[in-house]
Amino acid sequence: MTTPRTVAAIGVGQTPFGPTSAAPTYVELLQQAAAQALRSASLTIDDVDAIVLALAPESLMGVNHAERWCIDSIGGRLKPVIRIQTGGATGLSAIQAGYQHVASGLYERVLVVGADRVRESGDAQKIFNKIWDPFYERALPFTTITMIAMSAVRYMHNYGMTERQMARVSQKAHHNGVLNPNAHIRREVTVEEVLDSRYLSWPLKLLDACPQSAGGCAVVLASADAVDAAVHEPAWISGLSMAGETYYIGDRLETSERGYDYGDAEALAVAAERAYAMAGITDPRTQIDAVETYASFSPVEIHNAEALGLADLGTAGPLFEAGYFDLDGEIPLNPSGGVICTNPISVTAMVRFVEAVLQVQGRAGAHQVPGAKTVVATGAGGSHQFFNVAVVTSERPA
Amino acid sequence: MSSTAGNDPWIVEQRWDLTYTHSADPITATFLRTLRDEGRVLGIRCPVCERVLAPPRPICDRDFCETGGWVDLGMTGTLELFTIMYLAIDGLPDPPYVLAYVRPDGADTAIGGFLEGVDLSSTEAALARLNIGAPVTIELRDERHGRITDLYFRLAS
Repeated sequence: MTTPRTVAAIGVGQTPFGPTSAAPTYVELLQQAAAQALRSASLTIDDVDAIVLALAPESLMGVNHAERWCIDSIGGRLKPVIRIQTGGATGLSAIQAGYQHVASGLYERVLVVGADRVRESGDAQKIFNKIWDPFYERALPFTTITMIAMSAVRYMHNYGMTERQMARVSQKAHHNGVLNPNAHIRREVTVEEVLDSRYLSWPLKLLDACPQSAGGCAVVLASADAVDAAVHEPAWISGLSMAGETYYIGDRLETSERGYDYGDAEALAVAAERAYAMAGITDPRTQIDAVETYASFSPVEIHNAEALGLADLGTAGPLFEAGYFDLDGEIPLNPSGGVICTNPISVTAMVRFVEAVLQVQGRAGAHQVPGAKTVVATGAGGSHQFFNVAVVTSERPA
Repeated sequence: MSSTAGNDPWIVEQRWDLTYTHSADPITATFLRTLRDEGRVLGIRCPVCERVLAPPRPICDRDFCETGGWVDLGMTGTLELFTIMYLAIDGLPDPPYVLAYVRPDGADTAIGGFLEGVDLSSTEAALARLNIGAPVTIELRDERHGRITDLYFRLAS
């Protein structure tokens, strides 16, 4: 196998995230994010060799085959353009596609860009019910909420996670989100407020859940040769991997060789092992300075911490309660506030990557983790089914 | 005439009204037909890993091979996953209701369905009865339409 070329992020852009309001429109968000990323890389669209569009199920924003409509807003005329879709993992899968474009030697500079307006339709959960097969599961009212609720119930059964531990994750997320000017939800909540909020699907409560956000995000990736030391402050992709999980949730109930079941996130653990191996991470608890992980509901953050090797299986809940994953804790988890504060689905996983870039560049502002040099970003999509992991470092990988 | 006739948002409402005709593979069709006509729940065996997959499907996700060999599953099983849904969603049933995955006796995987017969007026009281690992019965609707909702679950005790 040929060794892949080294790839850096040399420009990032994100619009402020918020509710889906009349403006900016979907295509304006794309253009704004792309322009910001190009500006931060001191490049123009002419310098970009290829474009990757991150677009999750377009039924949320309501234009089918929407890469047609997007192409002008992403500068795609007469350039190579592909669209990537892996549900919630889309944003990081798009980064992976851009990485492969550059690492392969085909292109020097690639623009990865996406946007979402999740409440363009008020029917998001009705749409998500359509992700189940038409014969065995569609007739049942499964949604992305029930699928995570059932995973949380299983995890509670296996390890004794409490609703209070879940609430503590949400309290932390909201606290961090206040410090992030781009976050959609920017208000403190207490553990008691989370516990008092209404049930969506037991044990998930309203304040355990992510919002439905609008906004855009973009990244310019470049080969090491295309990094201009005088202009760029590159953040390097030192590790990158993904893993899929089987379709049927009912097939994920027996304990695997790793000791995982549907209460856990085994495919995330597999993706992490591969990405860590590529990045030379052998002890994630000492070598990783911060993590931006895709957790649309609070209990997901708990099992993700374990899948990412930051805690032993079944032990993360009490660590969250003890502040281990707080912004000033041992390993800050979602210093940006994470998905619980901001979920523009097509780019949610790309925002994790952008936040990792900002952290290793020391440009994260009020939610900066001091001295962060190695930061992990993760994505998750489908019915807890497509997972990706990126290791972003300030040091160029050997 | 002024060309700056207001900056009010210009809003267009659209509705997708789509119809699909899905055709099932023979194994799925056999399961649904047998459920409707005979009230039996079938699983299928993977010849490599020998797991009994329920609901049955033409390929094994682990071994990437064709499945074969029908297995009659019992009408009892184990509660593997559940949630009590409280959120009303347009086009879906009125909450609250219990969604569950149950592993039928004789199967290695679980089938999704409604779990009925638990009083949901108090979350606490309902949770005292709903436990992963609890024995359940697989029940059949009197009127069956060849859909997965022809079956549902009840706690055995």
